[in-house]
Amino acid sequence: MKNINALQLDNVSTFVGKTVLVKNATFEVKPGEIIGLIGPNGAGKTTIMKTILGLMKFKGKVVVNGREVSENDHQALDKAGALIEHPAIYPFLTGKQNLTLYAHDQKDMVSLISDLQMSSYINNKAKGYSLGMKQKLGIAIALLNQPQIVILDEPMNGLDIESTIRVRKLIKRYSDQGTAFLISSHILSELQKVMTRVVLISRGQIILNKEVAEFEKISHQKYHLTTDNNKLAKKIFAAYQITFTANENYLIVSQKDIYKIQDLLFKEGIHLKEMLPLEANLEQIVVDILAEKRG
Amino acid sequence: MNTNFKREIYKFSHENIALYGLIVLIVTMTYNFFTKPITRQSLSYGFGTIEWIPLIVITVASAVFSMEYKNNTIIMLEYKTSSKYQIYFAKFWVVLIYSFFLTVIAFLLTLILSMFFNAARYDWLVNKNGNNLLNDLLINLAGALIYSFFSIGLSFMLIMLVKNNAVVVCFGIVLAFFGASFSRGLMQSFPNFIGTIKWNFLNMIFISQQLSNPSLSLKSNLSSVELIIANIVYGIIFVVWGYYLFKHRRV
Ligand SMILES: Nc1ncnc2c1ncn2[C@@H]1O[C@H](COP(=O)(O)OP(=O)(O)OP(=O)(O)O)[C@@H](O)[C@H]1O
Ligand SMILES: [Mg+2]
Repeated sequence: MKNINALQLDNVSTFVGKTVLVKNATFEVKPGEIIGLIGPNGAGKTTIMKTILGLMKFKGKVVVNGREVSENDHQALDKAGALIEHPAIYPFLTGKQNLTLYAHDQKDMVSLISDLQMSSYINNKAKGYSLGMKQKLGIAIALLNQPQIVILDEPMNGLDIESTIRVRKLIKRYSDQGTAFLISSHILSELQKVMTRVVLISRGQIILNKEVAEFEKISHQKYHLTTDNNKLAKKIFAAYQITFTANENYLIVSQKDIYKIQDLLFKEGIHLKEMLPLEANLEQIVVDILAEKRG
Repeated sequence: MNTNFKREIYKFSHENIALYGLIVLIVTMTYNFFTKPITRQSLSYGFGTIEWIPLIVITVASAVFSMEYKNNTIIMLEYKTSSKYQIYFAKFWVVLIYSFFLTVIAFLLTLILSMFFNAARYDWLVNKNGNNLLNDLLINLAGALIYSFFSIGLSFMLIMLVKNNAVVVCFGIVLAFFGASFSRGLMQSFPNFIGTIKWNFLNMIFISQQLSNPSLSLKSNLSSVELIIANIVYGIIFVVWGYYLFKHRRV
């Protein structure tokens, strides 16, 4: 069972009438993986998610936990949880009643309520909930019944800092237990803390599918350094044809030049105050890729 | 019991609309009782209840569907179930049972209210034209129930077609208050086509009065049996049409 993909898309194209919203999407999600599905507004993130849930007309193959999903067969989705666009909540029921509607196991439900700190209002009617309260309830519904795959569309929408951290921890914990996640978000820095892979979609097409670790590798080829005399350091780098970018307080250089730089600085009597590998700036990378695509 | 049906019952019993429908029924009946002259006919019509039940049913039926779209819960409903058939007909049965429940309440309330009234004037069991009053009331309520079936179908079909609750409710009101006279107007204006026009769906509303009062067939141009069959056939067509639209509607 271990090597069955939690989700697999093979050449999936989604249609509304004759319009193609998603074109030839192919990717897979392994158990425990957390995929960040990112892309500009209108790219097709929600559409892909709805397609996986058997809610759209599509061609190609969607397989969830080894079983094919079609518009008329949602059996494979028994162990799938989802929050699409807005939390699906009946306002005339209490939070708890909303959960009870789907919960198979009382204990599971109670622990989700406490994990998301909803106990104080869970017995109130949901129509009185704030945006974030509704969102948390929607996330709890998606996480009910120990799902094998969870699809979350903009899950952090409206959550305060503490709740965001709680949700993140919860996602990590579930993924450690083997639950796979497909999460869309615009706040990349938010996703970056949990996701293991990025799937980038633009105009209905998947244009990138990469492990986050790979991004980090690329970024780690750059170093960020500060010296006690940046001005002089810059002159020296220029003289020795070392490529760098700089601003008032620091310089960014390539990994390959590190030893040479250290030698030079030592010779010139400049003290190296700090030298760190650059943090992956996914946001910038994504913006660059999209800009490149647009040409 | 089917999970979908159980969920529908659970939701419906917690929704205010079910309660409001019941309150509207009780208030209108009581209002009619206190403000309008009480006749044998008004008793047999359950103090206007036969007009109100279908209207309440149309409103409730369209709300039961539109709230799923409004709350985005339709997504959960659809992805968790393979068959849209089950979703649709679970709702259908719930509203039909609710109509039956309203009819029973209307029956009991008619009896209770009439007790406050000088009961000697219209004895429930005294015959008139071979029918006693109790029978008339029951027959009219049965007619209202059949018309409720028609109304649920119409409401489900309309909500799938126009996707707007308010429009469906307005349509229901127009139907309840002007449907019959409009239909009669049509037949009077085109006497040559009465044979066809008499089958128009506006004419179906006669079922709630005509069954106890066969002379009304002069207005409806349909016999009581024809009315019953036509109502059921219309109801089925609407329900199936609504299902077809629902089946092809995407969230
Ligand atoms: N039912 C529909 N009929 C026609 N076009 C649609 C329909 N649903 C979505 N679209 C179109 O498909 C494209 C993708 O929409 P989608 O909602 O998947 O985008 P998204 O990536 O989720 O965007 P956002 O970040 O704004 O949520 C958009 O151009 C949208 O206009
Ligand atoms: Mg979206």
